Amino acid sequence: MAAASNWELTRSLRRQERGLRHGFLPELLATAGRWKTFSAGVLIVGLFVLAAVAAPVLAPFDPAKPDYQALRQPPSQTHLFGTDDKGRDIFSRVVFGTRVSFTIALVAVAIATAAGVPIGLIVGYLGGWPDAVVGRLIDAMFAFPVILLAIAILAVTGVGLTGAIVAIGLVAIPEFARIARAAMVGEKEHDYVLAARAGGCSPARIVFRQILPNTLGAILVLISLGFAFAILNETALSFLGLGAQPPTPSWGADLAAGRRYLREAPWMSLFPGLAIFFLVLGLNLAGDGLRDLADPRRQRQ
Amino acid sequence: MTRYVLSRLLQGVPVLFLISAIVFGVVALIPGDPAMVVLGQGATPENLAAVRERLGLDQPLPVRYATWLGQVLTGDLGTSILSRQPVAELIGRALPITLYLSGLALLLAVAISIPAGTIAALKRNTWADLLFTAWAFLGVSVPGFWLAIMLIYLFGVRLQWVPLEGYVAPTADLSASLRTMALPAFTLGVFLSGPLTRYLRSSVLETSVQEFVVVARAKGLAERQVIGRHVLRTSLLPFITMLGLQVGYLLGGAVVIENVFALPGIGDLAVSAIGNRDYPVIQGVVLVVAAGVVAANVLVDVLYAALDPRIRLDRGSG
Repeated sequence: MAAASNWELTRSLRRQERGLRHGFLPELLATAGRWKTFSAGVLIVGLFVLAAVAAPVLAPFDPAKPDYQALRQPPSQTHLFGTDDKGRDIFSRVVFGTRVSFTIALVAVAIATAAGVPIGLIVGYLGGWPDAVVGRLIDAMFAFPVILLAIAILAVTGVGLTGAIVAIGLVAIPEFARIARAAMVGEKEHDYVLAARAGGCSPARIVFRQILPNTLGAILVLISLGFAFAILNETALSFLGLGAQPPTPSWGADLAAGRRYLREAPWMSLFPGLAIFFLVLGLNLAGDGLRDLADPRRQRQ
Repeated sequence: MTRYVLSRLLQGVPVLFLISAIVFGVVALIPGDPAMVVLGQGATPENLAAVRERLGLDQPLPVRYATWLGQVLTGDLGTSILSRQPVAELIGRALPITLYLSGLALLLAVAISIPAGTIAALKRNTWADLLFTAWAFLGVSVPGFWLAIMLIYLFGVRLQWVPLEGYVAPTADLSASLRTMALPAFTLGVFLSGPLTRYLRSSVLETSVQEFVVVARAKGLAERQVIGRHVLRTSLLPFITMLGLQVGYLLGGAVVIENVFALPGIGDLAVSAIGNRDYPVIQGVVLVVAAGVVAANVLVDVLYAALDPRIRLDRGSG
């Protein structure tokens, strides 16, 4: 894997060459073409971030306030996505649900990154028995289906939002450690590492100051895909009744409530699910696009 | 070959040990006194002490782990707190349903991803490739439980082609059984076909530029034979390993899908167990499933070695 700074350099050089040969506009289009998966993903995710930040402005109704005059109304101009079994505006709930999903995913990914990445980097650098022990442990953790392991952890933490955050963060640690380890193993044989070691840098300094910046590309991809993973698992747990609890506006829990009225009010199930789908799609596109950009070899395929 | 199989089986043992330790550790961390759960609120201190002794809770943790492991190895997974039935029996009843669902889903995912991945690779950068790449993206982005609900609405509520939910055993009525399983298996299969398609696509791409493919073409083989005999056969080997790695993914997906379709499999067992704080059941389900995943991975490796002489000659002697 090429070092990030190296990659930036060749990229800008190539861009200059091409710019000289073909002019500004073709170059701009070519760049946009190369970036389109990533840009499409960032655009989608950006819209959701906007919804989360501006939720009180965007949502026309109080997401938690029942309106018994307007039970299970189909989508209309007043209620864009219709209303639910308690007369609450589904559009407002989906918008506010963005906040809940983002909060859970952010904290869970932060837990997985803070624990998994240093573990992976350190054992990848050290090699030998620490690497073997952690490797076996990661193997063992991978044998547990994510949702089942999360359920077992929820037995310890108790069912609810906090429990779901901890469970999703913990089950993601092995994957984060594995990827960080692989990035480290690919990086540590480079000459600059040898130079740093010869120059008398401490192992901690080499790992975190010299090598870590060069594995940032891989780690960013990991975080982006980890976010998608966290959203899918959070909504699944909430759907099973083990995560966010009513009346909190939550995509997963709202879907579970909507399922009871599938015949009379299918829009109750449709819209929260669409929100999950588009956000996860956006995160996957961004992560995948980023990976292709960071590794030109994959692009040519 | 025997030597390779044996060494691969032995490698599974420490992983299984770690798994059992993790499962035991998680359940030991659960706050609250299991004796209290057994007896309920009005328990006297004497009764509590007696139950603790009977359950072995007065012993230190390593001793409890050893005792528990001994019981597990003889097939005793404890007793459900709620139904008072042996956990092994509950799992024995639920597991075939989950395996039935997962098996159908796996078949479907393979049936979709082999042609899709091959075509996407051979017709690279055409609309067909784009279509299958889009399919793969949708497959990994769509939440399974939502897709399931939408399919129930379309095929169950609107078109009324399939029953809404419920389980019919294949031994009771095969055609009715397959009809009830069609939507759950499809949902789970779509979920799985995404990553499999993408994996096979890149595997075929890698193989198709190798020298032996060029040689096959150069000696005048028909394109059909080049693809079928040389490219696909070689590409399918890593694909099989990938299938093995998906077993955990599949069983995890089944947990949620079973809930949507009210299928009484192990997912259903685990979800209702956590609602009832029935920890022996959770412990048993998680342990059995994880051990199953390890077994599946070992099986796939052995299968891979049987199909590819390079592996067993290379690693079997070491």
